[in-house]
Amino acid sequence: MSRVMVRVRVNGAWKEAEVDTRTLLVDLLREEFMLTGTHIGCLTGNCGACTVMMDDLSVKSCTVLAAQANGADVLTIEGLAPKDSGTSNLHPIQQAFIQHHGLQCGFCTPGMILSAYQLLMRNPKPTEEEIRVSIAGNLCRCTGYQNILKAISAASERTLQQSGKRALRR
Amino acid sequence: MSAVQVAVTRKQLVGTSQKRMEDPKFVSGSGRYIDDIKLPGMLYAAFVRSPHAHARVLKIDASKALKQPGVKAVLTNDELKGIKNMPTVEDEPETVATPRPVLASKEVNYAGEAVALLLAESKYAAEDALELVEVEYEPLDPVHDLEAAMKAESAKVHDYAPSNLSYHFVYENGDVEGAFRQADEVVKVDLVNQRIHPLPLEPRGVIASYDSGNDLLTIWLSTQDPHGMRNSIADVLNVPAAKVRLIAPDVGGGFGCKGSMYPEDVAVSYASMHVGRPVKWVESRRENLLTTIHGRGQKQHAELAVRRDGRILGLKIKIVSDAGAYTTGLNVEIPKLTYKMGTGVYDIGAYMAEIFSIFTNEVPQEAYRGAGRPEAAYLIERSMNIVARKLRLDPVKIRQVNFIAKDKFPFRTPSGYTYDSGDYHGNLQKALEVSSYERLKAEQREARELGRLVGIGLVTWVEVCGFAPGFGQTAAITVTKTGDVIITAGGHPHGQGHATPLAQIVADELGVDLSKITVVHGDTSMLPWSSVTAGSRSAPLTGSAVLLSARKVRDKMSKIAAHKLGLKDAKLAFEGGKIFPNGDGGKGLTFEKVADLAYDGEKIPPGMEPTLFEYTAFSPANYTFPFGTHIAMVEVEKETGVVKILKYFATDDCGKLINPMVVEGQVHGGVVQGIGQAMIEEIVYDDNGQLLTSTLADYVIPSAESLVEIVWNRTETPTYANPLGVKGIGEAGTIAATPVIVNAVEDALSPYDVTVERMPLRSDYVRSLIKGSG
Amino acid sequence: MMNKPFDYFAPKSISEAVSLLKKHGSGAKLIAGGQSLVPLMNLGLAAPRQIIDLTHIKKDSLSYVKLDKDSLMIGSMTTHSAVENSPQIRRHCRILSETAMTIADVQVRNRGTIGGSVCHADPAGDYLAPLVAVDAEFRAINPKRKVRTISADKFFVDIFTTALKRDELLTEIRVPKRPSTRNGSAYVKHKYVEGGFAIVGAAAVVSVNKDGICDRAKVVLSGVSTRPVRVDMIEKEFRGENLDERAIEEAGRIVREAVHDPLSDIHASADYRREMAVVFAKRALRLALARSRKTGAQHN
Repeated sequence: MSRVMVRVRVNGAWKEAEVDTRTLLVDLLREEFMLTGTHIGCLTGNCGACTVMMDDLSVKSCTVLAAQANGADVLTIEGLAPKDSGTSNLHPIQQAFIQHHGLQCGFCTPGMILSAYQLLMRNPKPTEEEIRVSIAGNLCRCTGYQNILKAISAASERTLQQSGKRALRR
Repeated sequence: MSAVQVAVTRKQLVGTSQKRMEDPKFVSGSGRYIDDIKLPGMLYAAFVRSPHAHARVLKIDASKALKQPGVKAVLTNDELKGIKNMPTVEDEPETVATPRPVLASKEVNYAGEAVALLLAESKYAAEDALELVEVEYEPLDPVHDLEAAMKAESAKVHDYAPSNLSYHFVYENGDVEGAFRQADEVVKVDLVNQRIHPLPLEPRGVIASYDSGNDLLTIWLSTQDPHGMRNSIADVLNVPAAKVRLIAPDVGGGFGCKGSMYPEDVAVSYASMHVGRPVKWVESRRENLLTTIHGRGQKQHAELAVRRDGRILGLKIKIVSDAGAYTTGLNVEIPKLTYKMGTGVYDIGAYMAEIFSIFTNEVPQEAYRGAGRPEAAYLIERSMNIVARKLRLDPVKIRQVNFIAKDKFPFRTPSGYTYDSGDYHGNLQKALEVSSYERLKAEQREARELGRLVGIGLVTWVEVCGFAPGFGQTAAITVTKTGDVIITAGGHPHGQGHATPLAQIVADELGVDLSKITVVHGDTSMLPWSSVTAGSRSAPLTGSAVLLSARKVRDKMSKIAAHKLGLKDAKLAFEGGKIFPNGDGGKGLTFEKVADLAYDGEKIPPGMEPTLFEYTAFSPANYTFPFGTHIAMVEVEKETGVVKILKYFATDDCGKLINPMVVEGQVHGGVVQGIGQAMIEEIVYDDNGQLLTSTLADYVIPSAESLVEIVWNRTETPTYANPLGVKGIGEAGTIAATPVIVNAVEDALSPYDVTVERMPLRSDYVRSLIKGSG
Repeated sequence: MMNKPFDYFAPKSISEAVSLLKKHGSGAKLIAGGQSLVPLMNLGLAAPRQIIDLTHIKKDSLSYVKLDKDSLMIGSMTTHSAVENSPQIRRHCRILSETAMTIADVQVRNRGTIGGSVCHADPAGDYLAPLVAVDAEFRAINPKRKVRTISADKFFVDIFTTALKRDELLTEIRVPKRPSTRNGSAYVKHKYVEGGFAIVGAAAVVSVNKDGICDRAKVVLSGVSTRPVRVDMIEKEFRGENLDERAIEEAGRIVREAVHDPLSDIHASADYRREMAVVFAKRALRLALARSRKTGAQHN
């Protein structure tokens, strides 16, 4: 069985693991690094539950081989808020999802939040249409998306009011 | 009631939107779903599945697979010793029971049916070895088309079921023939309610771990029904329920499909007992589409005896329901629910229904959000619009003519339900106001003058929920010695957010802060019984069980406080973490103090048992019947047939509200699922019974991109069926949205005078309606 | 549902990559962004024995957008996002950034590459029609470092099949520059759902002279056939014509004739695809024409 050594900077810290060559990035995160906040919903790149940031770009980690991420900087939902923090220290997007009931079962939520993060990094003041397009690759079966839009819009306003993009940065 | 009266305190939290207690864990990735659980020594299961829709299983040879590194065992049904078949109907002579082994041993009846379980040290090892299990099949003719299946000459799914009939029932209430004789016109309607998938974002999954020392099997299952599954799995395994503990972790959506027991649940449990190690299986999305139950799947026919003024004198319906390959308990009941809710919000005295449930070589159909009621609402609400168009009546008018009047509640329907309460005229009126219905119609007229195909749809829905008398729900409340409150709730949420509304009820009753309350659920070791989370029953039933338990706790704490304070006949208030005589806050005791006293047998009234734990099994007086009006405006692009939703208004009545934010969220999600069925979702099998929609690229569900804002409003008509006056809202949106979109599209196409007979409204189909009319 | 085992190679250079291709032969598969390949592998529909990963090749050797006197040059590993957002592409080949914008969703566009997409040659792939319409050329290199240029028209051979030889690696896509005025192009797409593949994609490129008379009008369709359908008659018939609404209707008739034996699936029947080919071809033509007539506008 072919193995490969993969070294990835995850949520700010370098980690490495020797894995099967066919290991997907999502499995590397979940099975090797125990970061189970990144979820598997389809393995075909359709649902977006496995969305993570890779070198500052949102990607679906079920469509990336772990070996392809060698050397990359990966941000997962676990890394979005500072460690050991309570609710009040959650990232503004996370807080907005709670405030506006932007989640129900929670399964799509980490991927959805990272897609929102990607959007606000690129476009701090998106229109409703731009938000809709930005999360088109993240399926949610519970919320009908309406409160997700509200949450992202609120997070945008809030971060703009505060210190702009810097507030988004973890 | 004792000398100490329980005072009614000012309600503070019930009725207000409160943030959900479970959300911080979900937004930070700390949710714990089935696939997040890893146990030491765990093996991974994978299933050998039939590539055929219908075939005899001649031989299974696992010898090559067993030689693969990492493979521990391959189990076929013959090796599952001492277990029973999967549940089917018992003692129901009118319904064909289908003996079904847990793993198909002689015959497979749908593509994807499991024939063997393979156990290995890793997911990869298990999956890789699957193709080395050699199964010899003798293909048989598959049964696919419902109409063809009913013919005597059709191939049969089961040799013992002629014409593929699972059951056939006829119900007749009132003078149906008389009604049709008196009618000015008889309108006939033929519709297809297509097979669709519940599609929770988290697929199914199970982990079983057998502890031989204690002879205890612990099962973690992504389920809506922990106790029910514990009992069912124990029964099929032939072990005492007492030897099985079932825990539901966080569940990533269910929508009905996780309310059933599946062959994999039993096989994995057996495997763990067999090898003495924990075993895990998590469904892939392909398996999910291939083997998790589907829903809806009915051919529907209605005949309405109509008077010229729009009054419906009589209704006949015929439903041909697609049972799929087997008779399970639920797929017998769901078409009957369609019959029972068939007359909707209308006062129709003469009602006849004929139901056929037909076997096909497809996945069994069971409960998808609404389970039987969306099908009923679809048939009657589409029919009302078709009648209105025939008679050139406004869809509003025909409904007003036929509504059950407000003063007729409780109203006994011809099918035998007693609708608890309703104000259909009032709710419709509010919906017309908030949607500015007249203005919508004016906009539509203007658009039509410009040649645009703009349509308005209207639906007035009702459903039955809060199941049900005799089949209630449970809850217990513990107040710890330290004064913390634990709600142990029956019914396990799969996204609904039970915890916060239940805590709100208790916070009000006991006068404590929400932060003092912990809500736990989903473990069979915590309650003697709890029933399934389904049928929009958690607020009315679990909520009531929690309320009644809280009242018992309060009663006991009142007595303890009064005893301590030396009061008799005093009314005690519970507010702000204190318990005190009404109007005399200075004299009271803290909640914690009273809790502490309760654990000391010498400090409580003589004869009282120490500790604070109260349990309630609540069985309601009746079902509940929430209702509402949905209005949608759509535009059809003539050249392409593309449907665009322009506006959506939902005005619902679910009685009293506990947490409006959560209620509205349920409506949003439900509406979008209903839109999904109307617009894009469909399970498609080819003529050989092969599933063509086996990935999310082919089975598509709505994304954020093509939707509009749902404008939600409400009216409030409480129910007497439970002490909270709440009716339930989980399924409402799904029930209303499907027919309202189709009604709107049919209205948009009114220049062509066509009837929309099927869904989804793919642009191809809509375009064919435009062209077909010439 | 899981991918099958394979040997993994991460070449650091183009020449190393093609040598590996040659060495491993038909069982080997190149992977770029992986947005088509990995899902197919996860479904068990593709099971390469060797994976040669292009993502660790020095970034600017395959991922770039450059200009010279005559051409716009796009490295094969340029992501859809980069194509969408590149100022040069927006300026000199607007139709390509317009196309990139319609592909799937943000995450797929962040990761998927133009080269990977065209080499996958899915008949419903978005780039196919516009690249044929703008007369793009594909440059491929083999282990002997020989560079071969293939016209877009010849590149797409059949469903999931290109003209690339087994040991060739696509390095660059070149698009001829056109004058910034009196040229217009457009890509319009009919999707069965948002973010989904095209039922029909229509690309149109139009050039007009200073009197508004057509020098060139070209329509190419994807999604309707196993390879892009280039509607030759439009190219021939319309030179020297005034492209009025009557001419566009005529173009529609030509498209209807040109679409033989359209694809059919659960999302759209063959007849509907043919009809939509006509509708979207006309839409693309109208839009391209309007853009060509915008005086001084720099649309291409």
